[in-house]
Amino acid sequence: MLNFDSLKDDLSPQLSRLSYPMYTLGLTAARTLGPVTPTAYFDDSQNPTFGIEIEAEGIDEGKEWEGIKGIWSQKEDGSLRNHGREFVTMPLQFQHLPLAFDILRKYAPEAQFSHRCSTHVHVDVRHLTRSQIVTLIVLYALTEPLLFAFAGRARQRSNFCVGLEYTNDLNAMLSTAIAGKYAHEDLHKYAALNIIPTYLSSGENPLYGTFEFRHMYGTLHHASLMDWCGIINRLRHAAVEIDLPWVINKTRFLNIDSSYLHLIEKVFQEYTGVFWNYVKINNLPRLLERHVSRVKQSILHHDFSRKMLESAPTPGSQYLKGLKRLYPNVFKRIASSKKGTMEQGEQFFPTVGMVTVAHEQIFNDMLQNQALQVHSQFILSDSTFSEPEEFADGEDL
Amino acid sequence: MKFNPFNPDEEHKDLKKKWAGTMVRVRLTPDGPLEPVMIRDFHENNTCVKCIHPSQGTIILRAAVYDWDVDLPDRGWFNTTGGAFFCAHKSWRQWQRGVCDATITLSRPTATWRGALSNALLLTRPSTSNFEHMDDAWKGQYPSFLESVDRLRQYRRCEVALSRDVALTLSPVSDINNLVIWYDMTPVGWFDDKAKLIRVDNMTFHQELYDFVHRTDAPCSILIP
Repeated sequence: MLNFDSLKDDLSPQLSRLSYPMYTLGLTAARTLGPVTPTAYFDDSQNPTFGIEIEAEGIDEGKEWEGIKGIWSQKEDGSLRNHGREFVTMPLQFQHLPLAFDILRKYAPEAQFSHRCSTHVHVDVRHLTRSQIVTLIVLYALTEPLLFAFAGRARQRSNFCVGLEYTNDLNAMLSTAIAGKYAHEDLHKYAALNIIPTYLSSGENPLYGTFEFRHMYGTLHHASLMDWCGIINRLRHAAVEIDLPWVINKTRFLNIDSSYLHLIEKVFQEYTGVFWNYVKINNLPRLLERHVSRVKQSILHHDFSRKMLESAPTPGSQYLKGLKRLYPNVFKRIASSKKGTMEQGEQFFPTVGMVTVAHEQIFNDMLQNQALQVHSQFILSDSTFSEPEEFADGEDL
Repeated sequence: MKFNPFNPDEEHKDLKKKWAGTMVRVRLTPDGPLEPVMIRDFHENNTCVKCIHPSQGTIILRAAVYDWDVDLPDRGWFNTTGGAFFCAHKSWRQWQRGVCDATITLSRPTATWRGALSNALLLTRPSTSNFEHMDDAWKGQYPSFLESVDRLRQYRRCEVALSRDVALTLSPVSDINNLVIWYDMTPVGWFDDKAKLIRVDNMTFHQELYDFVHRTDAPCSILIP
């Protein structure tokens, strides 16, 4: 049985940063709760929950598991050797992960990590719209080489963590994300980004509503685990913060303007620096160029764009809503022109195809406004014009 | 990636299930090159492996001695003696460990054009993809641009891989004499060999074609509509 009192002093600096009384929860969970449904506590779209799976070997036989019960569960894994176990957390928010890792590290100090071991991170995507999920997949596809640079070449060539660089899975992933349901047999759980837990349940694996990142090697090294979870957290937040049309447009011109660094800093923000321990900035074009072309092939040439336009509610509807809020008059004009061609009983519904029309009209309005502004400035400057002193006396020129 | 077939936890049947019928690369001599072999069977005590070598026929390997490499070839185009293929991995790799149908997809876009191309081709070509020439995929040898055009114009090939990403094929349309240029698995333009001009048809990939021409010093210009 793990002595939680001994952890109290060691973990006090981390506890002071926790917004939720995780330490108390850990105690109560360990002693009383057992399996709980913690999503009820942590249901927060802005702060997604994580589920961590850590595979380790060399675990002592006959060890009591009560000490970590409630935070970690453990089970045997057939792919491991030498008394290997797989440790799985309950759903935890990002700020609670350090404590969970410390508990496991103190509980299983004998853990060994061979090439068979890996760390899988599930991140909650249930609160994301379909367009945000598509954005997440596209951003991941663009930056996958950086994630593998972090995880190492051994993981990049692993049988159980196959990257998009080597497969044709991106089309299948995008088709599934756009349809919002599992519709493609090409998806498989050994892909480096496994989206199946969101779309398909099987006997052992229910619908978790998560995306699983399988890149990370097995470890309990605190900084590595927190960096990795932080990178995934940023990727998930970027999918909410960045619009899909911006991502598609960026992808189209990324190999032309080589603004790879701009994209990476926009997506990973404070975690961008982590990658420079593994990648030289000068090598970014060489690292990402082929990936960008692959993504372009999937999202621009594939029938992805057509499906995106036809699907309802459209992935770009959020963008349309934003435009509508900013430029209500433009949409009133579009709706009135549309209503003239609509049949009786048909309802007006803005589609992504209207983005182009809206852009044109907004652009025209802006031009007109600018012209008006320039004109008003001219009038203003004309009315307040004062003659230079040298001409003030009415000298004839 | 290396594996140890003498892992005591893996049974003979398990080894056979994972490896039989797949292609791996083996160093036949300590300092020799890696050569592809097809694994057929494991001896019951797991000391020997029965393999088929492309030139030497059936050979018996002492599994413990040799250096095994199960790395799959990279994704992309590669040339073989029968034509050019596009290789991609499948993420289904639970049981089959080497190169086989379960782990690799070989595709050939001109396979569906064969009826249209048959009038132009003087020689018959293998129409089905197989793993006989997988060694070429690891070597990754690509002819020069002009040499590729010559091969196509003499109807010695339906398609030629110019690099991992770019390939050149005959046209499926009889009234267009230009060659089709592909980026990855997408046709992106036409090559007019009389004018030495690549006419870009898919603007999404014009930068990739610029980069290809620049890096390979291909003697042609690019025309964007």
